[in-house]
Amino acid sequence: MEAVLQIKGLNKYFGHKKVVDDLNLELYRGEVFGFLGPNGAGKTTTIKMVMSLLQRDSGEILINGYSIDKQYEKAMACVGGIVENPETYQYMTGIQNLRQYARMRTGVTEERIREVVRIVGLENRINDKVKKYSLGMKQRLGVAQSIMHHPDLLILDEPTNGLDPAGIKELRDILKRLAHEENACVMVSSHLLSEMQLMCDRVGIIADGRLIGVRSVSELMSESEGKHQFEIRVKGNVSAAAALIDDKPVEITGEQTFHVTVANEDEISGIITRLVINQVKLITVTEATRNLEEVFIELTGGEGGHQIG
Amino acid sequence: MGKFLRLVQNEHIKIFSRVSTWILVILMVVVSVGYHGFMKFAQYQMNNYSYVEDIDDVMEGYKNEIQYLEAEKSAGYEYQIQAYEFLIAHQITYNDWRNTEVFSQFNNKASLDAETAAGNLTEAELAAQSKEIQDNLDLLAKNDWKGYFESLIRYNEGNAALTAEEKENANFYHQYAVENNLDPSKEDWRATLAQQIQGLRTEISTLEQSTQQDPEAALQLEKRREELLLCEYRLEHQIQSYAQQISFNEVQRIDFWTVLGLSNIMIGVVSMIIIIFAGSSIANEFSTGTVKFLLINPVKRWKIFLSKYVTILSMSIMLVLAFFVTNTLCSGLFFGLSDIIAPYLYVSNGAVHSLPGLLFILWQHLLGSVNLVVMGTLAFAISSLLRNSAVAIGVSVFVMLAGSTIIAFMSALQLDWARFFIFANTDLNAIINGSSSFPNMTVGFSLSVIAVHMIIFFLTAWDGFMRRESI
Repeated sequence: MEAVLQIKGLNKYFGHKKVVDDLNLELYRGEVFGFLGPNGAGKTTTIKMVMSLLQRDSGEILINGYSIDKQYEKAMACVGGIVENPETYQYMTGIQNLRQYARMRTGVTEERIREVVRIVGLENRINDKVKKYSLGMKQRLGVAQSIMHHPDLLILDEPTNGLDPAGIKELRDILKRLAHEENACVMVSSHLLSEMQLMCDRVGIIADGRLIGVRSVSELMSESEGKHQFEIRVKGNVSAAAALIDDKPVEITGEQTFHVTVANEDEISGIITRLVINQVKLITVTEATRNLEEVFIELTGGEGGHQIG
Repeated sequence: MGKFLRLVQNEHIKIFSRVSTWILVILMVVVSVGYHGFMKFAQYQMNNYSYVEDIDDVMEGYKNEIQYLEAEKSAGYEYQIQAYEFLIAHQITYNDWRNTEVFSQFNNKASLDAETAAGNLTEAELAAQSKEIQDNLDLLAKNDWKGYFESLIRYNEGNAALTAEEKENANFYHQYAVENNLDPSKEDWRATLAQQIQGLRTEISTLEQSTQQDPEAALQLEKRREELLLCEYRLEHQIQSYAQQISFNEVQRIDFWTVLGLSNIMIGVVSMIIIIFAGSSIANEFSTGTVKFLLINPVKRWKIFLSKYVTILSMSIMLVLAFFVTNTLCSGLFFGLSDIIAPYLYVSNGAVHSLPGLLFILWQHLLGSVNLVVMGTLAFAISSLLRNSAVAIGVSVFVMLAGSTIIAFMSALQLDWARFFIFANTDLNAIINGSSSFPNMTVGFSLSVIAVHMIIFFLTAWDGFMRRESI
């Protein structure tokens, strides 16, 4: 496979604090890569260094084999992206913003601008001033901007911010088409695993500036299969209620709540029945979303888990 | 290069798609219109300020003078009383051109009587001169200005003590008035000019006789000669109104060219606009985060930086040109466009040269924009360094306003080293005229001081933009 992005031994300090710690990563053509980590883990810092918005302390970054130091213009010609927020000139219309961007690139025609507007579904509002846009519309404009020059590497920082569920689905389709049909490499950062699962082919997890594991999503799914956790809220004596479920791993998490882990989703109805029969005043039963920390601990078998915070 | 021009194009589009830009441009036009409106008002005030004499009051005043003179009995008072009586007899007011002529005739009479008493004159001479004075007074009484002027000319022509040149100088105004039928009781700019020429010629010949070693007087003489050349040229070519370097306290007449020539003093409004553009150029990109939008492109940072600076320079030129056009149109609108083809006149190497007047006004505006470019660069540097537009604009405006005051203060204290300050050097108009705050400033020196400051500002801005932290 052809590597589009190569990051080698990347380090970055903010003062004395090490925010990116010896990061090595290779991204390939035709994949959607999820860059997953809690807030403050170093995702955006890494992305900024790839986009050469930030000086790095050591390490090497190659895009399509071009060094971002020595062959800056060639390297950056292959990249498109959104860092943090989609940045636009509020006092201009959507189309004026896109034209601003197009003039800084080579070979983007007016037809291509119209085409990307269609792709992101902004035809009706493209002649409005950007200050009248919702966050979701700005996000779409940002995507249109970042794909118009057919980048080999598309980097989107938290792209689903502000999008409604329909918008998220559209974005997902756009990104998948770019990767799988146009053979680009798409890098998406997020702190939500559920989102990553639907969108990405591979996921890299970063915590405290260290990349602690790269897995394909299919691997991730199979590993976490057979482990469903539910949160059960009851009125009255929590420990008595929890004691009723003696054949499953149970953990009391609050004054009214406890967690139960089951291998199969179907088993939960049996548990509910058992609680109801025993006069437990049941309030809610919800599937507990596992946080990154837990996923990571599961994936890596606890190694290095103390660093997440 | 193509890509660089596209960056510059982007910067211009950004400036012109902001509403605030157009508000500032309108402000500039308002300032220009306001200035011209004010000048129009001043012209109106000036034209209406003519003191209307009440004939009875004037005559009463003359009578009082006579009483006073009779009481004082100072030397030659009898002749003055005769003069006043003549004025009363012929109802000649203060503003009448004959007023001074009457006194001069009675002065002649006084000296004639003195000569006679000393016994220097023959009977015949006395009779002839007495008759001449009487004839002149008769001509004045009849208000025959032509006859009177001709009589004066004849008198000078017959004066054997004068050389041909002196005769011509002494007669210049009267000769011109008679030839061109310029009645002195009616105001005519040519008559004023001819009088001015005669006055200058007299002054020059006096200076020529007295000036030997005094460098001050030599300078004065040089200045008078240039003035004379200019006046003669104007009279010869019938140029009433013309473009000239002028300052507020030299204004004698408000017309198209005076107003347009002074319009340059309002250029501060353009400086203010440029400071706003320059101060927000880089800072706004940082504060709205759009700097990321710029920097994730395959364009080197220094090119983006340079495109912004080039845009400030091009906006400066555009706005100064727009200001020039607005001023010209307003001047034309308020004071009439009929003078617009008048030339700019200047003296160099003992000859008068003429240029199209508008060209001179344009040149004046461009010289005035030097200060504006320097202030723009300062705002640009602060904006880049601190990435805060409010501070950049505030500091630059303060510096612009305080700069000239500080220089005036230092000049008053005679702190000569202050000439190395930027503000002592940016007013090239004044430096070229020799009216700068410090003596003996040269354009070359000022340009060097400006260049040093500009390089410092530019490098500060460069350094501020190229640093890659905290985006």
